[in-house]
Amino acid sequence: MTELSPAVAASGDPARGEGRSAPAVKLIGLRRRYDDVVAVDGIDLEIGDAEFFSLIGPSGCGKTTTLRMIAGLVEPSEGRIEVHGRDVTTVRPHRRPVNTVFQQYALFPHLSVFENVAFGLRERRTPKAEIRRRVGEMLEVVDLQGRDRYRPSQLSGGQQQRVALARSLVLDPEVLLLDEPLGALDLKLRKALQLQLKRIQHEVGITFVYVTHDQEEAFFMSNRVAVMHDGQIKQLGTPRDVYERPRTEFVADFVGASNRLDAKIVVARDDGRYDAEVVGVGLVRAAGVEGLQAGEAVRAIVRPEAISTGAPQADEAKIEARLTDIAYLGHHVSCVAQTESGGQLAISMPQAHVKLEVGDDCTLRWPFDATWLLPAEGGVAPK
Amino acid sequence: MRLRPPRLRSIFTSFVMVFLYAPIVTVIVYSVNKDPLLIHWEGFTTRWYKQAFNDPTVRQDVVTTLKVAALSTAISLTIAVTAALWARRASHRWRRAFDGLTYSRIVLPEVVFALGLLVLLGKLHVPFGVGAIVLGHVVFNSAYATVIIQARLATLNETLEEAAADLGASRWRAFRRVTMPLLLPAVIVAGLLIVSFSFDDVIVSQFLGGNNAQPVSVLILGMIHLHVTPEVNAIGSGLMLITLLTFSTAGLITVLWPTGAGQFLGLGGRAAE
Repeated sequence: MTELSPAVAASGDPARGEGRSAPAVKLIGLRRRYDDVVAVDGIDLEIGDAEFFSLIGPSGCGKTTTLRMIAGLVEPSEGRIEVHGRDVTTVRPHRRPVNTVFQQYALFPHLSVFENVAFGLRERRTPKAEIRRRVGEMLEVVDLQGRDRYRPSQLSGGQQQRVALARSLVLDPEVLLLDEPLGALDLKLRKALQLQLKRIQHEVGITFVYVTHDQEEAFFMSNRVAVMHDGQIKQLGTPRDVYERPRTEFVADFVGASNRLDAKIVVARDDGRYDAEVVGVGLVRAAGVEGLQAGEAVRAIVRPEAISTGAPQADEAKIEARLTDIAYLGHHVSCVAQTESGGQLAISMPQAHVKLEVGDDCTLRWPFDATWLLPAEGGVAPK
Repeated sequence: MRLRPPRLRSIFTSFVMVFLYAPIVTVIVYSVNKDPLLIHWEGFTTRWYKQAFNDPTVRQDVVTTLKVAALSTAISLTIAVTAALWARRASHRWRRAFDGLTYSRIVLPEVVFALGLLVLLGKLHVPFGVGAIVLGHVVFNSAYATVIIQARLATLNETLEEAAADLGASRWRAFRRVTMPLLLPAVIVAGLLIVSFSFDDVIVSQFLGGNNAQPVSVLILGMIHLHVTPEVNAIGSGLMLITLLTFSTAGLITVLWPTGAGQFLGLGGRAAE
């Protein structure tokens, strides 16, 4: 792999220095309405310098609209957008210090790979010799040296994606916006490019704002993620934070298959944990969302991978169940068990540990620590 | 593969070809026939071409035809590109109104709007001549060009323009560097088509030419009122040659053009998208 040239690594823009202490991107009360539909409903967000930040959520949650507002391709109905402290809310897209990698790459079909990457530099009237040098270097960064004369249509999907990346990065943007850039690729290629993206981001030290509906992808690459739903940020934090300490049922559900059991808080303890009565399990001492009150109906979240079978220890929760389904997924086995109260639990465990068959009764157990309590969103927990 | 004997459709096709091309061949053959009465074949001559070329009226009218074709094509293409770009962003209602207006210019009998223009321009005291004919041609030529360019525009991904803007191109620069190069094949095709429409238009040219301007098409019509002379055949063949040259040059450009124009014309070449 290549070393980065000073032109890529250092900030070429003198105006950039002064805003360094301000967040790379700051969104203040950002809102976007389409007729009577609210796509983005009041977002406040600060994204740090050189951070790899992901906006995740199901389709229609407003993540792409948010990204397009930062790019200047969609006008906010309300609110403000700042880049390194500079208000860019009304700045036209071609004058913003941000660049975008589009979902379908949007490479110019009539231009060669070289000219695609040189497009922005030509707009800036960069001297020809410098264009040649910088485009050459950038093609090396994305492993496309020697392809400069090809047409986009002669490249594979993964190569096209990297041309799109090079085309944006060569302009040395203050923030790079990526809109599901790996969405059109197959799984194996995605994994390879995820690694490559992470490496490139580390090398160039530019803030990446990444949009995806794939939480695994986001968790793998990001420093922080924001989970969006109905145009709002439901939770913001490190991937681990969001995964282990979801604040709502929606987040818990979105970031990974999770088991939800009905429960009720018995005591809110001084150490921040709770004693909760979980239906079918009994008393459990577990951590949870702050501020739950004694007597409050809650959900106990248990990850499928925390559950195992066999005799429970003292600090473990247990529940009697019958296995209804076993699926072998290579080195892991995914099981479904039915509890006596009729609820279903998903279990994921190493293959070597499974000695049961469908129809067997068993005791399921998991550590108290692996239980997470969060407020119930009305009604009974979904089975 | 086994060859089949000619069937009905082969015979039918042959008839169509004969009726399509026989008249053209006739015109060319008679334009080099020595017999001034066009009855018998009396040997080859270029006399009629010389005669036509040296006829000041013919020369003047050819110039008029070229002027009208060039002007009306340039104006029509400009209108068509602008209109197609506008229509793409227009609301559904405006879009439908726009399409209605476009197609009405193609469907309405030429005689009707030629007459309308005649009356209107007369009332406004606009002089008849090249300008008036150009105006008349633009009415239908811009409509044909709009339809062709709209079809191409519909295949272009709007994200490309967003990408151009994102990379620092103003709207005008994005149009110049991305939209226009990708539209060019369609613009060339539309241009070729409407140049030929302009060349052989008689109705509008007859109505709006006045005493000042007479394109070749109107001249030929006038000449055959008396009888078909060998000179008329020479003029016709000459026009054909000009058209042929234009088309083959344009065809060559499209094949060699690196923007996928060839593919658009079905002439091979590199994939555009």
